Amino acid sequence: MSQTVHTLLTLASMFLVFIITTRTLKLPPAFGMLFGALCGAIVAGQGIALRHLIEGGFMYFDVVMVIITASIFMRLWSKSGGLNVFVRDLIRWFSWSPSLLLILLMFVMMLPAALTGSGTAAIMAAGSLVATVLEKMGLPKKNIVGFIAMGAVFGLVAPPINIPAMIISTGINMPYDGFFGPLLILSLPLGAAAALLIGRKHIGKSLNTSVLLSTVQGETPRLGSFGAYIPLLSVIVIMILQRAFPRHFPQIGNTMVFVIGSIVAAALSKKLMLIDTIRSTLSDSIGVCCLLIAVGSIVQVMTLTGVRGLLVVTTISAPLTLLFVLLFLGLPLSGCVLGTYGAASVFGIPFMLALLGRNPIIATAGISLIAGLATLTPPTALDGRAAMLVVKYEGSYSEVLKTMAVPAIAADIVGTLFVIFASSLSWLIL
Amino acid sequence: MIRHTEEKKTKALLSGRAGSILVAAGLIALFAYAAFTFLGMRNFEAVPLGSGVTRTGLLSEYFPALKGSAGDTEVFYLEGSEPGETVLCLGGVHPNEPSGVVAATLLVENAQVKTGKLIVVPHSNASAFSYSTPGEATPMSFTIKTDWGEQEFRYGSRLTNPIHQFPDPDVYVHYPSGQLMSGNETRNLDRSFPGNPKGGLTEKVAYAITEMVKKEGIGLVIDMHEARLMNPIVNCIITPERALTLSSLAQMDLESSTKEPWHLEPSPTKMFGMTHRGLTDATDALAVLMETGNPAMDYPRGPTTEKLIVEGKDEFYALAASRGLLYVPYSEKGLPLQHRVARQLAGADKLIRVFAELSETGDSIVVEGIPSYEDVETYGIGHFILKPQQER
Repeated sequence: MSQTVHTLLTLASMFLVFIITTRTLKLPPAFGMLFGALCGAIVAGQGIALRHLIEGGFMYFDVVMVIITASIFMRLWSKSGGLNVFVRDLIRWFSWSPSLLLILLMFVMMLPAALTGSGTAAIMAAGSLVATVLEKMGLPKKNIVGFIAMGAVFGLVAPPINIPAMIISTGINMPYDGFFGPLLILSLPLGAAAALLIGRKHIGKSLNTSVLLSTVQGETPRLGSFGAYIPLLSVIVIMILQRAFPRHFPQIGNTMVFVIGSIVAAALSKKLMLIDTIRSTLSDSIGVCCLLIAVGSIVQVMTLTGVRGLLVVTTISAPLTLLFVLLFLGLPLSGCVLGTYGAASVFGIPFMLALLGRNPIIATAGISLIAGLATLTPPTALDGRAAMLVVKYEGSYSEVLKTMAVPAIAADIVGTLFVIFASSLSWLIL
Repeated sequence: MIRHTEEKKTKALLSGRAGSILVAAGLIALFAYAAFTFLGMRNFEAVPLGSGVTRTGLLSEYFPALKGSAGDTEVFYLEGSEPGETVLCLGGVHPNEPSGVVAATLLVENAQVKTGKLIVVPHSNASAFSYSTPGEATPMSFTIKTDWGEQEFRYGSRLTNPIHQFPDPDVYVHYPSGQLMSGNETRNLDRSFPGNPKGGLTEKVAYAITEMVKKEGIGLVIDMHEARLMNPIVNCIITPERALTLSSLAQMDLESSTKEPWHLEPSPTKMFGMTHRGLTDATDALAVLMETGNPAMDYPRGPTTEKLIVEGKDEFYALAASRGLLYVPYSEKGLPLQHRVARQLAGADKLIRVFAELSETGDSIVVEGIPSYEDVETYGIGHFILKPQQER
């Protein structure tokens, strides 16, 4: 049996087991992936491959840590009353122009992702408060999830920090330099357009400030309104200090930033219920974390068995026109298992290597935008699911996808055009 | 249609006292197995000392803060009877690039220095040998058949073990240039030069190597790496501007003697942290880097096995090669480790010879006994590997 046929059989067995376990046995996708990975390893002649299943589970360890700590931070800040004060002020300041408020809320959503490079971290840091305001403005929950998820995507693409672009740059031995202009052009206009496309038709021409404000009542933290902002400011300030003074300020990583934010929020809370809050937060986020661990395991087994190689070689050996079609369709869809960073790493680098004749900075920026969309592709849909988590939306994710369809497809088209016309767009490099 | 309720199922499955105990017991068993397996990677294979080795030391002797840490590593000195120039050969800056590790090991076991000094560090990033990268599914080790049995070599990771350096920042800011790279590059030794004594473990290791180059008065550094087959920077010598004459002469001789392609790649002047840029800028040494192609590194690879590392044969690469996607010649023979090690040794030998010829003092360093390109291709790597505890 040839290597190609054997690998195809392995892929088919993994897919079949995933379908049987999730559809027939009604197990959650995380278990479906684990059983699929186990079966794939056996069919490929690698045995049970326990070491690989465990090792792969650590692939997204950092992301899991950020999700947990950021969730705890947001929950503690919210319980202290800080979130309420923030939302009240936001409504007071910008309710005179609902469209402007929508766009500003999109930028608020994008900011933490632009600073950290992580859409998930942004959702966990800012998702709840943006969701609260959007809800008061009249957006349906599925639109709120779409709004937040798209904000995370455009935020992770926005400068200064775009991790997919950094991954691809490193992969082709190119410094991460000159990306600010192209990434700004790719992210801000699309972010503003997405905000209006998802939210505009659900809000009126004006907002009733007093009615909105009356719905946002609750506890006020220690130190009053000032105290409400300290936890969020402490997180933002540490993030900025890390970026502004990298040689003098310790680089502690997002996990520790949110731990510090949590301590500050807990200290400012009048009714501290630390253990209960942490317990309930862990309970809420375990689903997403299990999914990420399972995705890591299945990616490792796909690599072990050659399934990843088969997918990559089939993609990149396609003719140029088909390559662009695969870039447009295949790269976002690859996120169904790989997520954004995985898509950038596994497919983004080979795509870029196959397109080296074009301006590499513009092309990489375009690919990074398309890879960003991969975080919305089910069943993994990391940022889509994270947004559902913070909004507490229990409906179908396909309904959320419908709300994001137009801005997501527009972003996919823009990203692909950036790659096709990369050399003509080199003037965007500042 | 994916529903949020599926996450509830996950929680439901994990809830309940009996379920919790069952899951906890299962996890403990799995973690115990995993811990036992993963800790095995911390056992270094001993490098048998060839008769040319005059002494051994530790990298921490050049930077005491490294002593006792996971970054400390063995340094082998091969000194001639006559004083002369000093050359440093680095292997294992990236432990997932085995031709450099094996070639450095063979230098320790076989080289004889008549004049000058040869210093060899086979496991430059010792910490990165102690784990494998999640998601890459690489074997923990590979085995070479020798004249006396089998020798196992560990296959580590490109980056320092996160257990030894955690967490990664969002963005790695290279010291001292301020250049930005993706956060995990903070654990990449080949992005950390010239190093930072107050930085993370990886920057400290780079700093110790830079200090070694300065204190030993090293004139030439040869860093042996491997690259992905789809990377244009492969089968090459990467050279900074100061080493251009040296590298050009060596490259011409190597193309002629091995009948193989040897590209000359300029060291990027604005991409910092790599040995050839960092050490050349920070010291008086000429630092060059050699790359061979490792089939176990690139994305289009088939099953990731020991066989792929050692024999280098893969159907998918053959397909990629037929479509013109690879930057190395790839025939049905594949890219065996034996061939890649032969290239590394031939390159090191030639660079040392040309360096000696260009030296103002004439034959300032004379190294003999390095297995030749033809001999490694003919007799295999195993023929030149010493039995542990046995010294020639």
